[in-house]
Amino acid sequence: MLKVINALLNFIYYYPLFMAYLWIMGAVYYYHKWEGRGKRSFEDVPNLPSHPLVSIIVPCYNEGENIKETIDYLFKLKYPNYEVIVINDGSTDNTRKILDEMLNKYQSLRIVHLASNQGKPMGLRVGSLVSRGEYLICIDGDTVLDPYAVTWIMWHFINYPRVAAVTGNPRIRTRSTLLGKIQVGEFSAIIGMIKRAQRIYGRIFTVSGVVAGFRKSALQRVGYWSLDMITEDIETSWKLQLDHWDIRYEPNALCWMLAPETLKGLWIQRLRWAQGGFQVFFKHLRDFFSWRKRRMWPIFFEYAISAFWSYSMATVIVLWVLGQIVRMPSYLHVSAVFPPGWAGVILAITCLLQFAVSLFIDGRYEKRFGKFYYWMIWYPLVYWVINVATIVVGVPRALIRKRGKRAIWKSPDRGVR
Amino acid sequence: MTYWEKLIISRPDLQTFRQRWYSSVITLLFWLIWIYLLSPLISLIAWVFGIKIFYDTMISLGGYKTFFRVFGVYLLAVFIIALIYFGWAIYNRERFKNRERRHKFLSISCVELSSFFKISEEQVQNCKKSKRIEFDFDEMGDIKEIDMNGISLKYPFPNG
Repeated sequence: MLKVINALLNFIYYYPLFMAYLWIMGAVYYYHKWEGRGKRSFEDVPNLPSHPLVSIIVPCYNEGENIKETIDYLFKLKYPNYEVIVINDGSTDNTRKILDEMLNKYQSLRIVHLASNQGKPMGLRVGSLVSRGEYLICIDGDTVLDPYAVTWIMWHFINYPRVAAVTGNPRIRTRSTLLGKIQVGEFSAIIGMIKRAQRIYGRIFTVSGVVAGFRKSALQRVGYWSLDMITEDIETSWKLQLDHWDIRYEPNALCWMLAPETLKGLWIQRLRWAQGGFQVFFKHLRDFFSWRKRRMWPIFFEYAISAFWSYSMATVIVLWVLGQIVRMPSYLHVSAVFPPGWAGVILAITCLLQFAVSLFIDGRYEKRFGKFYYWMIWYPLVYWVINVATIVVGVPRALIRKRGKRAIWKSPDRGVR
Repeated sequence: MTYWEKLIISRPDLQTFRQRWYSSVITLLFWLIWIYLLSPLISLIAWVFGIKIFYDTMISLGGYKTFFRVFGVYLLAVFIIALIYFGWAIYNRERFKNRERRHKFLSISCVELSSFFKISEEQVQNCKKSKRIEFDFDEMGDIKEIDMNGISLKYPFPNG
């Protein structure tokens, strides 16, 4: 038993440590190979041989406060051939009225009203049905798309027929509170770093639901977005890649999004991600044993191990807390969750190094980005506590969730404004 | 100011003074915890400045051995991870490069859309032309009514 506890302690220490080095190596390699070492501005877009029609799909539910701004920015895009389709998913606020008023303001704006709330996957499906373009770019109703983002995304589709989806680089707008500032660092640096590293081995865990481009013919092959998946972005990414399509990460395709700034809002969001991720994992578990689908193995492994890490961490924390309250048998005694000494030094330096590298790589997209280094010190705690808690709660929820139950959305926390 | 700088919502004034103060102070405290993790390193630097004590502890008593053993094991582990990671990436690149079996600019037809969404080809085409559409669905998620420019069509759809 003592050996098991020691093995768990070693695992919870070594896993994040070595994954951090893997992400750093991958991100640095990506930065050198595909980002031109940061010398090229995201406004310096590549020349495209043609400009096929792009349909921008914006599913929204109760977005009365944000949808006007989202649409107005969409008509500032620097791409010559596109239409905007807004799907009002049975909103109960004034979204419908605002959209109908805007209909005549822009010639290439189209509006679809759904009689009742059907969930984001259905909204996206309807958008695909009515769209005229072969290329779809899907953004959330509270998101502002950068004027150059479409050109960057289309570069991949035009040059690489194997590419089924391209995910962009979401940036956080809400930065008033501590939680907002931590998420700025997390989204801009850590998530971007992981996506860059995954891109090197050719498979990406998920496109960002907030900004992603799709090839419609690829979506048709995999049956579009599944209606029962609460994280439709993860599931569609897995379906496409298991069907041997490529997904690309394009850091120059920026979008600006609102994020939760309360603990409750953050908890709801992260629990949905954890539960949804494992819903997808269990659904596609059988594919894990297919040799033909071996390119997805690193994604499967990483996800399974991170779940095991969360449960190990939870076990060690519980044993440590119990040990502070009652006298535990020696074989269940945990003296410290992370032992100090040289191991602690290396872990602390690794974290600081990871933040520094990620902020350096991502700093070219925003000026004076380094100031978030002060706030990023929280990230390991947020990652370890919230990630552990949401996975511990989310996995059983994913297992007991009724198959085929429709995924309907609720209005999220959108920060302090 | 660029357009995106205008988009940033940084309004700490919407929080109370106490909330702002807490955020800054607890972050500073968290940095101190981080520095605690680094305490052996800080001790080492302190020893370096007291060269004799440093020499006694790290050299004469062999303190450097632990450091190099731990550091060496980590370096080896990172090297093996790098080999596996880049090896897998190179294997896949060599295996799949220049193998393009998909048609360039393949696009899907109204027939395929009509079959998937269980409506007629004509309705698919009409949906694509309309500027404002309303849909209603049944419990299974199938379309039961489409309203385009005031003309309503209900399931079963003609030729659907």
